[in-house]
Amino acid sequence: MPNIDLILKAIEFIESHLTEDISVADMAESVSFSLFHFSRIFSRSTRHTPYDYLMRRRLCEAAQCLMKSEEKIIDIAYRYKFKAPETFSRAFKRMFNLQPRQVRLERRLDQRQLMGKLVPEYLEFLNSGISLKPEAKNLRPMQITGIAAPINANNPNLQIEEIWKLVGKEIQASGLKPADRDYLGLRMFFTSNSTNQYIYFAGTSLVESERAPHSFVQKSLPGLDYACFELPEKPSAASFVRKYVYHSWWPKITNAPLATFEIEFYSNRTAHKFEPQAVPVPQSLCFPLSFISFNNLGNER
Amino acid sequence: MNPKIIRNESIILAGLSFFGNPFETKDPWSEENEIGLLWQRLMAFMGQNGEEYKRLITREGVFYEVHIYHPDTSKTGEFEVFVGAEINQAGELPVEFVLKILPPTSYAVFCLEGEQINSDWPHMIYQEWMPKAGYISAFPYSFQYYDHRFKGMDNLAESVIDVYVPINKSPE
Repeated sequence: MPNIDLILKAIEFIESHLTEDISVADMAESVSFSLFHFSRIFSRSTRHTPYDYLMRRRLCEAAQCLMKSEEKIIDIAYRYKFKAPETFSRAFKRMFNLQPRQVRLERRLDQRQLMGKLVPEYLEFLNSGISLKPEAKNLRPMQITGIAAPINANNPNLQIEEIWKLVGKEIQASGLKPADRDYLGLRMFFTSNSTNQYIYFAGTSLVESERAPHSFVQKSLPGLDYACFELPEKPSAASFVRKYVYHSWWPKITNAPLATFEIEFYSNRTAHKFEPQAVPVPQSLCFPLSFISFNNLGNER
Repeated sequence: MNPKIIRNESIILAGLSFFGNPFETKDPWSEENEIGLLWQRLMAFMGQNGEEYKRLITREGVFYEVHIYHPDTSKTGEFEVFVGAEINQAGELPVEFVLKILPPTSYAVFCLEGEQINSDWPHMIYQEWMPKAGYISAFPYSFQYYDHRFKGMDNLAESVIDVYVPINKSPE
Protein backbone atom coordinates (compact mmCIF):
# COMPACT_ATOMS: atom_id res chain seq x y z
CA MET A 1 0.00 0.00 0.00
CA PRO A 2 1.42 3.37 -0.97
CA ASN A 3 2.68 5.66 1.76
CA ILE A 4 -0.30 7.95 2.35
CA ASP A 5 1.80 10.42 4.32
CA LEU A 6 4.11 10.99 1.37
CA ILE A 7 1.17 11.50 -0.98
CA LEU A 8 -0.34 13.99 1.47
CA LYS A 9 3.02 15.77 1.60
CA ALA A 10 3.02 15.98 -2.21
CA ILE A 11 -0.55 17.29 -2.14
CA GLU A 12 0.46 20.00 0.36
CA PHE A 13 3.31 20.94 -1.96
CA ILE A 14 0.96 21.21 -4.92
CA GLU A 15 -1.66 23.15 -2.95
CA SER A 16 0.89 25.67 -1.71
CA HIS A 17 2.13 26.25 -5.27
CA LEU A 18 -1.12 26.51 -7.22
CA THR A 19 -0.25 30.03 -8.34
CA GLU A 20 3.38 29.22 -9.11
CA ASP A 21 5.15 27.55 -11.99
CA ILE A 22 5.70 24.01 -10.80
CA SER A 23 6.27 20.80 -12.71
CA VAL A 24 5.56 17.15 -12.00
CA ALA A 25 9.32 16.77 -11.55
CA ASP A 26 9.17 19.39 -8.75
CA MET A 27 6.33 17.49 -7.09
CA ALA A 28 8.33 14.25 -7.29
CA GLU A 29 11.37 15.96 -5.84
CA SER A 30 9.32 17.28 -2.91
CA VAL A 31 8.94 13.68 -1.74
CA SER A 32 12.30 12.41 -3.04
CA PHE A 33 10.81 10.13 -5.69
CA SER A 34 11.72 9.73 -9.35
CA LEU A 35 9.14 11.18 -11.75
CA PHE A 36 8.17 7.67 -12.91
CA HIS A 37 7.67 6.23 -9.44
CA PHE A 38 5.92 9.38 -8.18
CA SER A 39 3.49 9.37 -11.12
CA ARG A 40 2.72 5.71 -10.52
CA ILE A 41 2.15 6.04 -6.78
CA PHE A 42 0.28 9.37 -6.97
CA SER A 43 -2.04 8.19 -9.75
CA ARG A 44 -2.82 4.92 -8.02
CA SER A 45 -3.43 6.60 -4.66
CA THR A 46 -5.47 9.61 -5.71
CA ARG A 47 -7.01 8.42 -9.02
CA HIS A 48 -5.55 11.54 -10.66
CA THR A 49 -2.27 11.95 -12.46
CA PRO A 50 -0.18 14.64 -10.75
CA TYR A 51 -0.63 17.07 -13.64
CA ASP A 52 -4.35 16.42 -13.81
CA TYR A 53 -4.66 17.12 -10.06
CA LEU A 54 -2.72 20.36 -10.40
CA MET A 55 -4.80 21.59 -13.36
CA ARG A 56 -8.14 20.61 -11.81
CA ARG A 57 -7.31 22.38 -8.56
CA ARG A 58 -6.15 25.48 -10.41
CA LEU A 59 -9.37 25.55 -12.46
CA CYS A 60 -11.54 25.03 -9.37
CA GLU A 61 -9.82 27.84 -7.48
CA ALA A 62 -10.18 30.03 -10.58
CA ALA A 63 -13.89 29.16 -10.70
CA GLN A 64 -14.28 30.24 -7.06
CA CYS A 65 -12.60 33.55 -7.91
CA LEU A 66 -14.98 34.04 -10.84
CA MET A 67 -18.02 33.46 -8.65
CA LYS A 68 -16.93 35.32 -5.53
CA SER A 69 -14.68 38.18 -6.60
CA GLU A 70 -14.53 41.05 -9.04
CA GLU A 71 -11.03 40.16 -10.23
CA LYS A 72 -10.69 40.42 -14.03
CA ILE A 73 -10.92 37.10 -15.87
CA ILE A 74 -7.58 37.70 -17.59
CA ASP A 75 -5.89 38.31 -14.23
CA ILE A 76 -7.36 35.12 -12.80
CA ALA A 77 -6.11 33.20 -15.84
CA TYR A 78 -2.56 34.50 -15.45
CA ARG A 79 -2.61 34.05 -11.69
CA TYR A 80 -3.33 30.36 -12.12
CA LYS A 81 -0.52 30.07 -14.63
CA PHE A 82 -2.43 29.83 -17.87
CA LYS A 83 -0.31 31.21 -20.68
CA ALA A 84 -3.17 33.04 -22.40
CA PRO A 85 -6.85 33.81 -21.79
CA GLU A 86 -7.77 31.49 -24.68
CA THR A 87 -5.90 28.57 -23.10
CA PHE A 88 -7.68 29.26 -19.82
CA SER A 89 -11.09 29.43 -21.53
CA ARG A 90 -10.53 26.15 -23.35
CA ALA A 91 -9.39 24.30 -20.23
CA PHE A 92 -12.23 25.84 -18.19
CA LYS A 93 -14.84 24.85 -20.78
CA ARG A 94 -13.44 21.34 -20.96
CA MET A 95 -13.79 20.92 -17.21
CA PHE A 96 -17.02 22.76 -16.44
CA ASN A 97 -18.77 22.83 -19.81
CA LEU A 98 -19.16 26.59 -19.35
CA GLN A 99 -17.14 29.61 -20.44
CA PRO A 100 -15.45 31.62 -17.66
CA ARG A 101 -17.48 34.71 -18.60
CA GLN A 102 -20.73 32.73 -18.17
CA VAL A 103 -19.73 31.72 -14.67
CA ARG A 104 -18.70 35.32 -13.90
CA LEU A 105 -22.02 36.63 -15.22
CA GLU A 106 -24.27 34.10 -13.51
CA ARG A 107 -22.11 33.56 -10.41
CA ARG A 108 -23.04 29.90 -10.32
CA LEU A 109 -21.66 26.48 -11.14
CA ASP A 110 -22.65 22.86 -10.43
CA GLN A 111 -21.04 22.52 -7.00
CA ARG A 112 -20.48 18.80 -7.55
CA GLN A 113 -17.85 19.65 -10.15
CA LEU A 114 -15.79 21.72 -7.75
CA MET A 115 -12.91 19.59 -6.50
CA GLY A 116 -11.38 20.68 -3.22
CA LYS A 117 -8.01 19.64 -1.85
CA LEU A 118 -7.85 15.88 -1.30
CA VAL A 119 -8.23 15.12 2.42
CA PRO A 120 -6.63 12.26 4.37
CA GLU A 121 -9.94 10.43 5.00
CA TYR A 122 -10.76 10.33 1.30
CA LEU A 123 -7.23 9.20 0.45
CA GLU A 124 -7.46 6.42 3.02
CA PHE A 125 -10.75 5.34 1.51
CA LEU A 126 -9.27 5.21 -2.00
CA ASN A 127 -6.38 3.10 -0.71
CA SER A 128 -8.36 0.75 1.49
CA GLY A 129 -8.36 -2.00 -1.10
CA ILE A 130 -11.94 -1.50 -2.31
CA SER A 131 -12.74 -1.81 -5.98
CA LEU A 132 -14.15 1.28 -7.62
CA LYS A 133 -14.90 -0.52 -10.85
CA PRO A 134 -18.54 0.07 -11.78
CA GLU A 135 -20.96 -2.37 -13.32
CA ALA A 136 -22.99 -1.33 -16.36
CA LYS A 137 -26.65 -2.12 -15.68
CA ASN A 138 -29.78 -1.60 -17.66
CA LEU A 139 -32.49 -0.92 -15.09
CA ARG A 140 -36.08 -1.64 -15.97
CA PRO A 141 -38.69 1.12 -15.73
CA MET A 142 -40.04 1.40 -12.19
CA GLN A 143 -43.00 2.93 -10.45
CA ILE A 144 -41.81 4.24 -7.13
CA THR A 145 -43.55 5.94 -4.28
CA GLY A 146 -42.26 7.86 -1.32
CA ILE A 147 -41.54 11.23 0.20
CA ALA A 148 -39.57 13.99 -1.53
CA ALA A 149 -38.14 17.04 0.20
CA PRO A 150 -35.58 19.74 -0.57
CA ILE A 151 -32.21 19.28 1.10
CA ASN A 152 -30.00 22.25 1.89
CA ALA A 153 -26.32 22.40 2.72
CA ASN A 154 -26.88 22.49 6.49
CA ASN A 155 -26.36 18.93 7.70
CA PRO A 156 -27.83 17.14 4.68
CA ASN A 157 -27.30 13.67 6.18
CA LEU A 158 -29.50 14.50 9.13
CA GLN A 159 -32.22 15.83 6.83
CA ILE A 160 -32.09 12.62 4.76
CA GLU A 161 -32.26 10.50 7.94
CA GLU A 162 -35.42 12.31 8.99
CA ILE A 163 -37.05 11.63 5.59
CA TRP A 164 -36.25 7.92 5.88
CA LYS A 165 -37.69 7.76 9.39
CA LEU A 166 -40.87 9.33 8.09
CA VAL A 167 -41.03 6.87 5.19
CA GLY A 168 -40.57 3.99 7.64
CA LYS A 169 -43.37 5.18 9.89
CA GLU A 170 -45.76 5.79 6.99
CA ILE A 171 -45.09 2.38 5.47
CA GLN A 172 -45.72 0.66 8.76
CA ALA A 173 -48.84 2.69 9.47
CA SER A 174 -50.29 2.02 6.01
CA GLY A 175 -50.05 -1.75 6.38
CA LEU A 176 -47.61 -2.24 3.49
CA LYS A 177 -45.19 -5.10 3.99
CA PRO A 178 -41.78 -3.53 4.61
CA ALA A 179 -39.77 -6.63 3.78
CA ASP A 180 -39.01 -8.02 0.30
CA ARG A 181 -39.19 -4.77 -1.59
CA ASP A 182 -36.69 -2.39 -3.17
CA TYR A 183 -35.94 0.77 -1.28
CA LEU A 184 -34.25 3.57 -3.09
CA GLY A 185 -33.12 7.13 -2.61
CA LEU A 186 -33.14 9.55 -5.48
CA ARG A 187 -31.13 12.78 -5.55
CA MET A 188 -32.48 15.22 -8.10
CA PHE A 189 -30.39 18.27 -8.85
CA PHE A 190 -31.58 21.64 -10.05
CA THR A 191 -30.39 22.76 -13.47
CA SER A 192 -28.83 25.76 -11.78
CA ASN A 193 -27.21 23.90 -8.90
CA SER A 194 -25.11 26.55 -7.30
CA THR A 195 -26.02 26.21 -3.66
CA ASN A 196 -25.62 22.49 -2.93
CA GLN A 197 -29.39 22.14 -2.81
CA TYR A 198 -31.22 19.19 -4.29
CA ILE A 199 -34.45 17.26 -3.88
CA TYR A 200 -34.16 13.95 -2.04
CA PHE A 201 -36.74 11.28 -2.67
CA ALA A 202 -36.86 8.32 -0.29
CA GLY A 203 -39.18 5.53 -1.25
CA THR A 204 -39.94 2.09 -2.51
CA SER A 205 -41.34 0.30 -5.52
CA LEU A 206 -45.00 -0.75 -5.46
CA VAL A 207 -46.53 -3.94 -6.76
CA GLU A 208 -49.81 -3.62 -8.66
CA SER A 209 -52.10 -4.55 -5.85
CA GLU A 210 -50.63 -2.11 -3.36
CA ARG A 211 -51.85 1.35 -2.45
CA ALA A 212 -49.34 3.93 -1.40
CA PRO A 213 -49.84 5.96 1.77
CA HIS A 214 -51.70 9.24 1.12
CA SER A 215 -48.66 11.30 2.01
CA PHE A 216 -46.53 9.61 -0.66
CA VAL A 217 -45.92 10.94 -4.15
CA GLN A 218 -45.36 8.60 -7.07
CA LYS A 219 -42.68 8.73 -9.71
CA SER A 220 -41.95 6.84 -12.89
CA LEU A 221 -38.32 5.95 -13.34
CA PRO A 222 -37.54 5.19 -16.98
CA GLY A 223 -35.50 2.20 -18.07
CA LEU A 224 -31.96 3.46 -18.64
CA ASP A 225 -28.35 2.31 -18.67
CA TYR A 226 -26.53 3.07 -15.43
CA ALA A 227 -23.03 2.80 -14.04
CA CYS A 228 -23.49 1.22 -10.62
CA PHE A 229 -20.92 1.30 -7.85
CA GLU A 230 -21.11 -1.15 -4.96
CA LEU A 231 -20.72 0.62 -1.63
CA PRO A 232 -18.49 -0.94 1.02
CA GLU A 233 -19.72 -0.92 4.59
CA LYS A 234 -17.52 1.94 5.66
CA PRO A 235 -18.45 5.30 7.14
CA SER A 236 -18.93 7.99 4.50
CA ALA A 237 -18.60 5.40 1.71
CA ALA A 238 -21.41 6.94 -0.33
CA SER A 239 -19.97 10.42 -0.01
CA PHE A 240 -16.49 9.24 -1.02
CA VAL A 241 -17.77 7.24 -3.98
CA ARG A 242 -19.64 10.33 -5.14
CA LYS A 243 -16.46 12.37 -4.90
CA TYR A 244 -14.63 9.72 -6.93
CA VAL A 245 -17.37 9.66 -9.58
CA TYR A 246 -17.69 13.44 -9.87
CA HIS A 247 -13.97 14.23 -10.01
CA SER A 248 -12.23 11.12 -11.39
CA TRP A 249 -14.58 8.69 -13.10
CA TRP A 250 -17.15 10.89 -14.88
CA PRO A 251 -14.54 13.25 -16.43
CA LYS A 252 -12.85 10.18 -17.95
CA ILE A 253 -15.89 9.16 -19.92
CA THR A 254 -17.44 12.42 -21.00
CA ASN A 255 -17.22 16.19 -21.08
CA ALA A 256 -20.99 16.33 -20.64
CA PRO A 257 -22.34 17.82 -17.42
CA LEU A 258 -23.00 15.48 -14.52
CA ALA A 259 -26.35 13.73 -14.65
CA THR A 260 -29.23 15.57 -13.02
CA PHE A 261 -30.15 12.64 -10.80
CA GLU A 262 -28.55 9.71 -8.97
CA ILE A 263 -30.05 6.61 -7.38
CA GLU A 264 -29.06 4.92 -4.11
CA PHE A 265 -30.23 1.32 -3.79
CA TYR A 266 -30.89 -0.30 -0.46
CA SER A 267 -30.89 -4.09 -0.36
CA ASN A 268 -33.71 -6.31 0.87
CA ARG A 269 -31.40 -7.40 3.65
CA THR A 270 -31.89 -3.97 5.20
CA ALA A 271 -35.65 -4.32 4.88
CA HIS A 272 -35.75 -7.66 6.72
CA LYS A 273 -34.59 -5.85 9.79
CA PHE A 274 -37.02 -3.08 9.05
CA GLU A 275 -37.71 -0.82 11.94
CA PRO A 276 -39.57 2.41 11.34
CA GLN A 277 -36.96 4.50 13.13
CA ALA A 278 -34.02 2.83 11.44
CA VAL A 279 -32.24 4.56 8.61
CA PRO A 280 -31.23 2.14 5.85
CA VAL A 281 -27.67 2.17 4.59
CA PRO A 282 -27.24 2.35 0.80
CA GLN A 283 -25.71 -0.68 -0.89
CA SER A 284 -25.02 0.81 -4.30
CA LEU A 285 -24.98 4.11 -6.14
CA CYS A 286 -26.11 4.33 -9.75
CA PHE A 287 -25.50 7.11 -12.25
CA PRO A 288 -27.46 7.33 -15.53
CA LEU A 289 -25.33 7.09 -18.65
CA SER A 290 -27.54 8.70 -21.21
CA PHE A 291 -25.66 12.04 -20.93
CA ILE A 292 -28.82 13.98 -21.33
CA SER A 293 -30.16 16.36 -18.76
CA PHE A 294 -32.87 14.07 -17.52
CA ASN A 295 -35.25 16.38 -15.76
CA ASN A 296 -38.48 14.81 -16.86
CA LEU A 297 -38.98 12.29 -14.07
CA GLY A 298 -42.73 11.77 -14.10
CA ASN A 299 -44.35 13.23 -11.00
CA GLU A 300 -47.73 11.74 -10.21
CA ARG A 301 -49.90 11.39 -7.13
CA MET B 1 23.81 -1.26 -6.65
CA ASN B 2 26.68 -2.49 -8.78
CA PRO B 3 25.85 -2.37 -12.46
CA LYS B 4 27.77 -3.80 -15.37
CA ILE B 5 29.10 -1.15 -17.76
CA ILE B 6 28.84 -2.28 -21.39
CA ARG B 7 28.92 -0.75 -24.83
CA ASN B 8 26.17 -1.59 -27.37
CA GLU B 9 25.86 -0.84 -31.01
CA SER B 10 22.57 0.46 -32.38
CA ILE B 11 19.53 -1.65 -31.47
CA ILE B 12 16.56 -1.78 -33.82
CA LEU B 13 13.28 -2.56 -32.13
CA ALA B 14 9.81 -3.10 -33.58
CA GLY B 15 6.67 -2.91 -31.51
CA LEU B 16 3.95 -0.63 -30.17
CA SER B 17 4.12 2.78 -28.59
CA PHE B 18 2.13 4.99 -26.22
CA PHE B 19 2.60 8.65 -25.34
CA GLY B 20 1.00 10.22 -22.31
CA ASN B 21 0.79 9.50 -18.65
CA PRO B 22 0.52 5.71 -18.60
CA PHE B 23 -0.99 5.79 -15.10
CA GLU B 24 -3.99 7.78 -16.29
CA THR B 25 -6.46 4.97 -16.79
CA LYS B 26 -8.58 6.17 -19.72
CA ASP B 27 -10.86 3.16 -19.70
CA PRO B 28 -13.55 3.90 -17.09
CA TRP B 29 -14.46 0.21 -16.88
CA SER B 30 -10.96 -1.03 -16.11
CA GLU B 31 -8.25 -0.41 -13.55
CA GLU B 32 -5.42 -1.49 -15.86
CA ASN B 33 -2.79 1.11 -16.67
CA GLU B 34 -1.58 1.93 -20.18
CA ILE B 35 1.68 0.01 -19.89
CA GLY B 36 -0.22 -3.15 -19.04
CA LEU B 37 -2.63 -2.48 -21.91
CA LEU B 38 0.28 -1.91 -24.31
CA TRP B 39 1.78 -5.27 -23.41
CA GLN B 40 -1.61 -6.95 -23.78
CA ARG B 41 -2.02 -5.44 -27.27
CA LEU B 42 1.45 -6.57 -28.29
CA MET B 43 0.94 -10.12 -27.07
CA ALA B 44 -2.53 -10.32 -28.59
CA PHE B 45 -1.25 -9.13 -31.95
CA MET B 46 1.64 -11.56 -31.93
CA GLY B 47 -0.69 -14.37 -30.96
CA GLN B 48 -3.23 -13.62 -33.69
CA ASN B 49 -1.24 -12.59 -36.74
CA GLY B 50 2.35 -11.90 -35.87
CA GLU B 51 4.03 -14.50 -38.11
CA GLU B 52 5.85 -11.86 -40.16
CA TYR B 53 6.90 -10.14 -36.94
CA LYS B 54 8.14 -13.36 -35.36
CA ARG B 55 10.29 -14.12 -38.43
CA LEU B 56 12.17 -10.81 -38.04
CA ILE B 57 12.83 -11.13 -34.30
CA THR B 58 16.48 -11.59 -33.39
CA ARG B 59 15.85 -13.41 -30.15
CA GLU B 60 12.58 -15.19 -29.40
CA GLY B 61 11.17 -14.60 -25.95
CA VAL B 62 13.17 -11.42 -25.36
CA PHE B 63 11.29 -8.14 -25.07
CA TYR B 64 12.12 -4.52 -24.37
CA GLU B 65 10.13 -1.85 -22.55
CA VAL B 66 11.63 1.54 -23.39
CA HIS B 67 10.72 4.71 -21.48
CA ILE B 68 11.57 7.87 -23.43
CA TYR B 69 11.40 11.28 -21.81
CA HIS B 70 10.42 14.13 -24.13
CA PRO B 71 11.08 17.85 -23.52
CA ASP B 72 7.76 18.37 -21.70
CA THR B 73 8.00 15.25 -19.56
CA SER B 74 9.24 16.93 -16.40
CA LYS B 75 6.44 19.53 -16.66
CA THR B 76 3.47 17.25 -17.38
CA GLY B 77 4.64 13.80 -16.37
CA GLU B 78 3.83 12.49 -19.84
CA PHE B 79 6.38 10.30 -21.58
CA GLU B 80 6.65 7.65 -24.27
CA VAL B 81 6.47 3.93 -23.55
CA PHE B 82 7.53 1.52 -26.25
CA VAL B 83 7.27 -2.27 -25.99
CA GLY B 84 8.69 -4.60 -28.58
CA ALA B 85 11.49 -6.88 -29.64
CA GLU B 86 14.82 -6.58 -31.42
CA ILE B 87 14.77 -7.20 -35.16
CA ASN B 88 17.57 -7.78 -37.65
CA GLN B 89 16.42 -5.29 -40.18
CA ALA B 90 13.44 -3.08 -40.88
CA GLY B 91 11.85 -5.35 -43.44
CA GLU B 92 8.13 -5.55 -44.10
CA LEU B 93 6.58 -4.91 -40.74
CA PRO B 94 2.84 -4.96 -40.01
CA VAL B 95 1.52 -1.42 -40.40
CA GLU B 96 0.38 -1.40 -36.78
CA PHE B 97 3.99 -1.53 -35.65
CA VAL B 98 6.54 1.22 -35.18
CA LEU B 99 10.32 1.10 -35.26
CA LYS B 100 12.49 2.38 -32.47
CA ILE B 101 16.21 2.75 -33.16
CA LEU B 102 18.30 3.02 -30.01
CA PRO B 103 21.64 4.71 -30.69
CA PRO B 104 25.06 3.16 -30.08
CA THR B 105 26.06 4.04 -26.53
CA SER B 106 27.46 2.80 -23.27
CA TYR B 107 24.99 1.43 -20.75
CA ALA B 108 24.97 0.81 -17.03
CA VAL B 109 23.08 -2.46 -16.67
CA PHE B 110 21.29 -3.08 -13.36
CA CYS B 111 19.87 -6.46 -12.44
CA LEU B 112 16.61 -6.11 -10.51
CA GLU B 113 15.12 -9.01 -8.57
CA GLY B 114 11.72 -9.50 -7.01
CA GLU B 115 10.29 -6.44 -5.31
CA GLN B 116 13.17 -4.30 -6.60
CA ILE B 117 11.29 -4.36 -9.92
CA ASN B 118 8.44 -2.35 -8.34
CA SER B 119 10.73 -0.11 -6.30
CA ASP B 120 11.79 3.43 -7.16
CA TRP B 121 14.84 2.17 -9.04
CA PRO B 122 14.96 5.26 -11.30
CA HIS B 123 15.61 7.39 -8.22
CA MET B 124 18.28 4.97 -6.98
CA ILE B 125 19.98 4.96 -10.37
CA TYR B 126 19.74 8.59 -11.45
CA GLN B 127 19.80 10.46 -8.12
CA GLU B 128 22.01 8.14 -6.05
CA TRP B 129 24.26 5.90 -8.15
CA MET B 130 24.93 8.12 -11.18
CA PRO B 131 26.38 11.20 -9.45
CA LYS B 132 28.46 9.07 -7.05
CA ALA B 133 29.80 6.89 -9.88
CA GLY B 134 30.75 9.90 -11.98
CA TYR B 135 28.32 9.42 -14.86
CA ILE B 136 25.60 11.43 -16.51
CA SER B 137 22.63 10.35 -18.58
CA ALA B 138 23.64 10.04 -22.26
CA PHE B 139 20.14 9.99 -23.73
CA PRO B 140 16.67 10.67 -22.31
CA TYR B 141 15.59 7.02 -22.22
CA SER B 142 16.13 3.78 -20.40
CA PHE B 143 14.87 0.31 -21.11
CA GLN B 144 13.88 -2.82 -19.24
CA TYR B 145 15.01 -6.12 -20.71
CA TYR B 146 12.61 -9.05 -20.25
CA ASP B 147 13.61 -12.64 -20.94
CA HIS B 148 12.92 -16.10 -19.49
CA ARG B 149 13.87 -14.86 -16.02
CA PHE B 150 10.72 -12.73 -15.86
CA LYS B 151 7.85 -14.82 -14.48
CA GLY B 152 5.00 -12.33 -14.83
CA MET B 153 3.59 -9.43 -12.77
CA ASP B 154 1.77 -11.99 -10.59
CA ASN B 155 5.05 -13.65 -9.71
CA LEU B 156 7.43 -10.78 -9.20
CA ALA B 157 9.06 -12.46 -6.23
CA GLU B 158 10.54 -15.08 -8.61
CA SER B 159 11.35 -12.61 -11.40
CA VAL B 160 14.50 -10.91 -12.62
CA ILE B 161 14.83 -8.14 -15.22
CA ASP B 162 17.70 -5.97 -16.41
CA VAL B 163 17.48 -2.19 -16.62
CA TYR B 164 19.74 -0.47 -19.16
CA VAL B 165 20.57 3.19 -18.63
CA PRO B 166 22.58 5.00 -21.33
CA ILE B 167 25.56 6.81 -19.77
CA ASN B 168 28.47 9.10 -20.47
CA LYS B 169 31.27 10.01 -18.17
CA SER B 170 30.68 13.25 -16.24
CA PRO B 171 32.62 16.14 -17.73
CA GLU B 172 35.54 17.12 -15.42
